[in-house]
Amino acid sequence: MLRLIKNFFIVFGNIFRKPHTIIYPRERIIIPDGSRGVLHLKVDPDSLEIICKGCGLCKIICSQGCITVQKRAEDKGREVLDEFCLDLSKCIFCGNCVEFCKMNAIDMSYKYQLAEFDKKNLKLEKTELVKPSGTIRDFW
Amino acid sequence: MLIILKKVFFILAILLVNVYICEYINNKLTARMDLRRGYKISGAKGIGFPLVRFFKYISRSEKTNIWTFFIFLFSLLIWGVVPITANLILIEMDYSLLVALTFYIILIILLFFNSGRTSYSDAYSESGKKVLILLSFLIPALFSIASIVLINKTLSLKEIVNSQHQYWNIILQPLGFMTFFISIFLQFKLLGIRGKSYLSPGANIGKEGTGLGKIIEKFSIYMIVFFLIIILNILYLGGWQGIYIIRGEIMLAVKFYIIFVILLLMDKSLGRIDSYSMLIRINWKFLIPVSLVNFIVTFGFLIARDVYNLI
Amino acid sequence: MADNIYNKIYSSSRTVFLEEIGEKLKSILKDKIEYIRRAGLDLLILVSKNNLYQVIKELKDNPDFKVNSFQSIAALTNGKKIYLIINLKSFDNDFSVLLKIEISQREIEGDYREIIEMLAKFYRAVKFYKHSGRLISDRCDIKILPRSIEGLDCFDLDILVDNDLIREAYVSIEIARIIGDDYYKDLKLYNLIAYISRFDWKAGIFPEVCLCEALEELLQLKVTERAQHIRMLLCELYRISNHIYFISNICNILQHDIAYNLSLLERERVLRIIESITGSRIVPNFIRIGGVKKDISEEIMVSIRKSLPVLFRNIRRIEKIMTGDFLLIERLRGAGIISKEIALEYGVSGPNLRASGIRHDLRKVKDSFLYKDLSFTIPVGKSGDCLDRISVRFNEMLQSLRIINQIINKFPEGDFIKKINVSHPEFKSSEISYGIECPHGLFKIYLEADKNNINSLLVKGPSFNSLILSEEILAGNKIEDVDLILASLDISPGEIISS
Ligand code: SF4
Ligand code: SF4
Repeated sequence: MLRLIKNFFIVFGNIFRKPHTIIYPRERIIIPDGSRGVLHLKVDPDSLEIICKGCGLCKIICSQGCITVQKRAEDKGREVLDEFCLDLSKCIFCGNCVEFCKMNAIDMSYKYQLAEFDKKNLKLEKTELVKPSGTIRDFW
Repeated sequence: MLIILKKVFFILAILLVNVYICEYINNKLTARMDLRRGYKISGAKGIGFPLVRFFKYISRSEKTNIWTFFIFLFSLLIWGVVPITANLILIEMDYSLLVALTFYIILIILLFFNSGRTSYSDAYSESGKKVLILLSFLIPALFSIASIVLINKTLSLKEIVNSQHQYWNIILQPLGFMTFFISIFLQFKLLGIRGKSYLSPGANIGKEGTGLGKIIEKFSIYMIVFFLIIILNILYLGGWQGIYIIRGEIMLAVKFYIIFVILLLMDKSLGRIDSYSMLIRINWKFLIPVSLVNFIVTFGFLIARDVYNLI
Repeated sequence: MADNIYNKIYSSSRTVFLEEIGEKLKSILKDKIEYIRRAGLDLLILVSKNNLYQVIKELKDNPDFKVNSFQSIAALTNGKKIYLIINLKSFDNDFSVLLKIEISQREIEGDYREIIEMLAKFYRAVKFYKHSGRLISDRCDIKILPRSIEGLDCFDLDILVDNDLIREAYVSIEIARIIGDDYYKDLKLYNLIAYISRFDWKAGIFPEVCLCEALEELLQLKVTERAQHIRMLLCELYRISNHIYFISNICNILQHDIAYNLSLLERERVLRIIESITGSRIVPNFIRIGGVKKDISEEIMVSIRKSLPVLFRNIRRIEKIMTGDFLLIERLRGAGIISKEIALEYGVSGPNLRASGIRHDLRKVKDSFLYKDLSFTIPVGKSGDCLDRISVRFNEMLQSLRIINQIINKFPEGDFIKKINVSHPEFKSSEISYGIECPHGLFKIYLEADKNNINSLLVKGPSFNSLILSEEILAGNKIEDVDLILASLDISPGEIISS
């Protein structure tokens, strides 16, 4: 019986406490360090070139088959990445591709807003993957 | 004639405004009790939300049946006999308490018929049981009312209020007040003001449903709650009696909202009470004996005072 | 030298015990069985269909074995052959047997029915398999569709009632998912690890740990201490998260809103820690063969250390709020009682079993992790009703916090993974069955591997046994307690697989 009265006052006190609701588009929750979001192609900070050489290992690794990679040879025999496409509608964010990449050329950003109206928009091209994600852990 | 029309208009206006405020309080306050923020759309802390919800419900057409019409009628008819304040009463008569109670019982039975409409037929007997339990909570309430009637020696609600000008009945009848309040609370919980109605089978069914029928059902539930709170006010808390310089109407509104919020808080702090055996046990092992004892004590006290002139 | 024996994957006494029983069985059942050998935790016996009756009769009636508990039955394909794997367990002698029966490809249905009929003579729990697939919708009184109970979206429930009381209940898992062998065929190991946590989305680390440990056993690999500590830490964190989710589910059904909100907030706190370690909340993909994926940094340790007392305080508070409410206790007490005998017979494990008063926890029995270095107790209940099941889980959470505290205080230095060639592993070609104590009970994996890939894989979650049991215990209870009892069994939908 005493507990019931205590519960009553807990509920009463809750009215004056700060609510835990987060109104989504305006406020965001804090994403912990190392959370797995959309893939991101790293860029060499000195030369501003994409590190990925298009070796295609991640394409073999990915169990969902959502990465397509193509490389082309420039003059002097240097190989550069021609095309890198990620199908977000298939990706399960397992992170295996990041783990297996020898060049350390990709990592997982904190981007998690993936809702789209058009299915075509879920296919991300190279130019979009290079962009740093908008969500850089705003408040952690 | 004109005066009566004016009164009807006033009563309706007061009821509608209060339903709006209560719906808002209900949504916002229960959300805050859950540590949620509650509705924020439609500006100004969601003040327009009940209106939005009203339009949302009414915009979908759904078949309404004859019971909804009767429910609407009776939930308004109650206010013909129950005085909200001293002047706002349509029909003045000596047996207004009895008539109001009859209307109330009819309303609950009608709600039962209506709740059978939304569910599949197997669960019909289920909700029937719940209504019976709900009605059985009237028994302790009736005992408490009877002892009030004995003390004040009248069946008219207006005179009960007037006889409390010195002290409220709660001082004379603390036990009766307690049983009446608990029985009101249990009815409140069974009716499911928070959108989880136990009248309809399944805890989540109260959330469903659209159309005019849903609105009327909700409206009638509010009417029942209002009726119960106002009756409690009239019987125990002095109705529209003013204190010192504060006007009676304001006192009534304050008391009304305090009781409403307390009921909401209690509703939130207790879990689901829908096991029949427990409800029946609460009723027959606690409420009815206490109210019966209260009644007998009052009766004996009156006999001792009047007949034998002992006290 | 002594340290070497001490740190072996199994304590040697256990292996010797199992092999002794195997020898005994071999001498008794000489010509009726084809072979008998130890596969991980269990004894694997290959029997032909005709001898099955005598073998089971011997196993059940001989006081030396007393195999009295039926665990599971499942079909398995290896190459072109189809086998049935029947798992039986003896609680008195503490060993379990896997019976492997080859059935002909043409008469799968007929053979299966025949074996089930025969098993039903020995074990009551098999009743479920007899009627499954044949629903009684046309004559049932109340039909509970999967969507109506939150979190339990994997089965139909048909109920026959007698006034307020349930007379009979039938569970049908027709709508549950089916997992064929293409789930693991042609899959590389790292992808299989990424997938397997889908079997249990309430506590995703446990299938991964189970699979990796089974494979390590096949590879004869010993994991470093640091990796083991990280694994234990994650296991306990997931256990707390699962149990708190369970509590919140119960509170939601009882509409006890205070405890509901508080427990969800605590779950969020635990999931935060988990996410900061593994990078994901539900599907961690964190355990690797030979260790773990990432090291735990010092920052995360500090944050765990900070949040431990808060968690402890808040869980105690929730417990107080729930146990002090006499209306709630009234409701929970006496609902859905599982007696000891029935629990054993149906092969229930985990907290549900402990609530019935049987002190059995794989963490204490098996020494695969370093649990033997830590001090913790196993809470048990008395009567096995809903209240006991809840309080056992509360106590288990507090014990888990205690374990985490000990782990953090002596976190060893060293490597977190052993570098091995994962893409071309070399197994000792054999069968293995491996079990682990997951929050719902005993999570079991059976796999057959040849030189360098997995041929067949069977996953058996503990929730399936609880679901079968629910048929038995629902009878005699009130209608309004159905969702409460089902929720209190902590059934994880991912584990319910119809085959
Ligand atoms: S991301 Fe890495 S693995 Fe994939 S193609 Fe580029 S370099 Fe190769
Ligand atoms: S995260 Fe997993 S599913 Fe997604 S692209 Fe990488 S390997 Fe494929």
